[in-house]
Amino acid sequence: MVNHMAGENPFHDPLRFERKVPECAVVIFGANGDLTKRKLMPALYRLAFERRLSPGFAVIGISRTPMSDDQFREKMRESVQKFLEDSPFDENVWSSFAQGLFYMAGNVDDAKCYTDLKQCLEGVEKQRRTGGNVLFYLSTQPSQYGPTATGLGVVGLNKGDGWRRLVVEKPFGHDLASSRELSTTLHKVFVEEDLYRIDHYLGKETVQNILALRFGNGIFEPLWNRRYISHVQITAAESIGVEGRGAYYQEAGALRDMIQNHLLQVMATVTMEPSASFQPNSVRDERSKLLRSVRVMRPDEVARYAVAGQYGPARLGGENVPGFRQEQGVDPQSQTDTYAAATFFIDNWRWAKVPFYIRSGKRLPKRVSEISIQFHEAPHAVFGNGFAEKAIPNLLILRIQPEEGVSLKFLSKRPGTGMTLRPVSMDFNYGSSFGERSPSAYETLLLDAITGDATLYTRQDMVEASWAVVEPILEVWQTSRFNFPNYAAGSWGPTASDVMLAQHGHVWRKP
Amino acid sequence: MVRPEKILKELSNLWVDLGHEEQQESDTAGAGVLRACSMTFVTIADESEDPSNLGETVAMLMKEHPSRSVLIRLRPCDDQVLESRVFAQCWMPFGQRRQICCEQIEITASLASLDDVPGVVLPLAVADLPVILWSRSPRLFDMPAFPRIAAMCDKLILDTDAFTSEQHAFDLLSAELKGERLVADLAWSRITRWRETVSQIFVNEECLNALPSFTRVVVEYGSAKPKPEAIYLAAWLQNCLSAVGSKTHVDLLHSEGPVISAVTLSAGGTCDVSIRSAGGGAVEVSANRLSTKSFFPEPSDYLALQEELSITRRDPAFDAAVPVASQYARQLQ
Repeated sequence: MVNHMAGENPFHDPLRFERKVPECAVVIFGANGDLTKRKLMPALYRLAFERRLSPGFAVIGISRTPMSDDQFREKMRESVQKFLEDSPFDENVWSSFAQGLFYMAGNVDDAKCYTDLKQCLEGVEKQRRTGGNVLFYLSTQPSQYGPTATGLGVVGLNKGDGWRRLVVEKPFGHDLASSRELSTTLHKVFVEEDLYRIDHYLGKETVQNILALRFGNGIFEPLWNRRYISHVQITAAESIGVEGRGAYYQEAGALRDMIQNHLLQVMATVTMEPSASFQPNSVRDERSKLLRSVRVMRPDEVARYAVAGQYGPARLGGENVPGFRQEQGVDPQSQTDTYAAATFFIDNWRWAKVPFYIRSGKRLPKRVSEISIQFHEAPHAVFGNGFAEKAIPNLLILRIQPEEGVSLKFLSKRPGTGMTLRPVSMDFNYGSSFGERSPSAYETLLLDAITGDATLYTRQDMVEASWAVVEPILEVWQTSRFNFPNYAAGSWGPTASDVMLAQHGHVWRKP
Repeated sequence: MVRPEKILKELSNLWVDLGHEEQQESDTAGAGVLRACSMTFVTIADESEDPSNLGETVAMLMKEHPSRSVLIRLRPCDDQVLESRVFAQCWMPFGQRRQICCEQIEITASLASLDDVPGVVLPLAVADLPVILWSRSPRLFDMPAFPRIAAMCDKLILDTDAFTSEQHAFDLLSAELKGERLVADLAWSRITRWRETVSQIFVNEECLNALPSFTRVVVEYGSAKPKPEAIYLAAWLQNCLSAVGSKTHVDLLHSEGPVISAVTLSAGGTCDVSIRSAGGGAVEVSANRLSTKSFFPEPSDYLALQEELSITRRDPAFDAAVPVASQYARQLQ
């Protein structure tokens, strides 16, 4: 007989039942925006499709455009049908899910929006029995984060019978000072525990798998240090350009848009110390500690350890591809970095003197995100250099996208009478070993926020630590005049980036 | 005569051939095929069973649970028959350039040769990986060779629905559960969606607090007599209610509809819960005066096995349900 504690659901079976969304309302500010249509609504629909939503679940969409509930439902239906990935659209599931969708037109700069929302929430709570739990999701312009949170606080929506949580999308400020300012504003209304700063990279299955690989196995951790690892390369390459986001991207750049948040978080996941448990704050404490150990560059080191690039026009696949400065909405003299690479060092016992090369760029040859861990070469060449076709040290590659998986490259004897070595690859392919569909990052992260699990969310001290790392680079770049463009679309970035690695005797891996 | 070494040699040759074929067809030198294996999956079925249906189920499972599959087909004759053949099950994952392949071994054994089967199958198990035995044939359990065949597996999967006597099936399960080996019943896996829906309702605190006041709990079944699924559901509900100190007895009632047509929990108006099949996989869920519709996937061996192959430890809810289900079956006789 299975005994249950008072107040526990005796019907729950963690062995077989998937984690469920408890009764709640999700309020999306910016409900008519791209993020809602492309990511949030398809993710919520998928949760409905997998029967993870409670009957007492509702979504209230808010944006300026006047719309009825039914018009909003129809709009969201079109978006889900269009943007749903690896999943069928089921008419019956949708009609049941759509009953819980509501819409309210409102301007977040107007105090009336919040009094209206309060009233709307009361009505929805009665109709759907959402238990007073509310997740506010800010899918608006970053400049509206502060005013929206303040508005919620003024009418008392930050507190209620159930829990109240606020999800904020990146960017969390545009530098250290503005990040602190945003945080101060948000903290006036929500305590840190109820703030969920979303970094969708951390929600990716393969990024989470880094933790499983490192801490679920005994064989890797003993090698996971300066003694065995020569250097680490983290690459996030996009083959596309700015695709109509020129105006936004011009203000951000690759260093701010990718490295400050996503890639430094990935680096922290690869290099952090094991946490004592898989509790949200234990894991986040270790990530934060690691980010605080990253050596902050002096201004005179920036030219040596960081490279900015911008793509120029090229002819790719039989068509002319514009350079960044020719993109719509971009200043023809723009100094924005569409490519950024940096060498970081982690000043702790485990990683002292190991270079971490991070690069991210647009219009590179292919879309790929991976972490490549290069081990030291064998200390003594027993077979002599002539035996191997090419001297290749062991590589452990963690592929985040596409073809998610892990590969280990090592040398093997080529069949035959002679002793000729050839590099071979031992592959673990996520898709073939686990045929089931992986949830999207937003499915995972929305479910986490609703169930109150902040493990994969970024805490303010982590945000500040990563801003502290990139800010010296940004400051030097802002006062520099680059001779852009310095790489052709479709190439692996500027030559200076290769030079940056060459000074340590390393070369970029071509994924 | 079948020799395991010969089968292993054939498998080895099969991989070499597949590698050559793929390299000749592929533009990418050295692409080869990806060999995937996470378990040895032994299926025992009567030869009279439709091989295409069974093959389809095993092939579908390969994608999520890649395995070395050993299919043993039982031929009802007294001659000494033991034959084998090997082949590969391959598929090209969407958007990828390399085929993934799993090994399949088919062994045909007459009942007279059943004693020889363990000696053939045991060396074919992939080292360091679990061996799962899915027995589709209820008569296997009563054969003298069964203990030796079952001894090689880490998990035994059966389906009480295939037995003519529920009582006999539950007795057999009860005996198996006393051992160390993991045991699973596909009839139990087929009620997961029902159990999950009940559980989801009681996430609501108002419903949870009303639990002790439920005075009438009913599982309605549509078949002439309750099938193991309905019995399991009643047994599980009974256990869950007992765990919170409720003395309410769960009743099984006949009504029109599928194997399970409804579950209702009544607290005399203060809180009423019902989950009722509405046809086409839909169920109407009513709880606390709020109604929603949910959809259950069409039950199939594939879905039930997919669930069972993911579970690698004992299932306490199942272990507790079997003896209670056995009591229900006895009362219903």
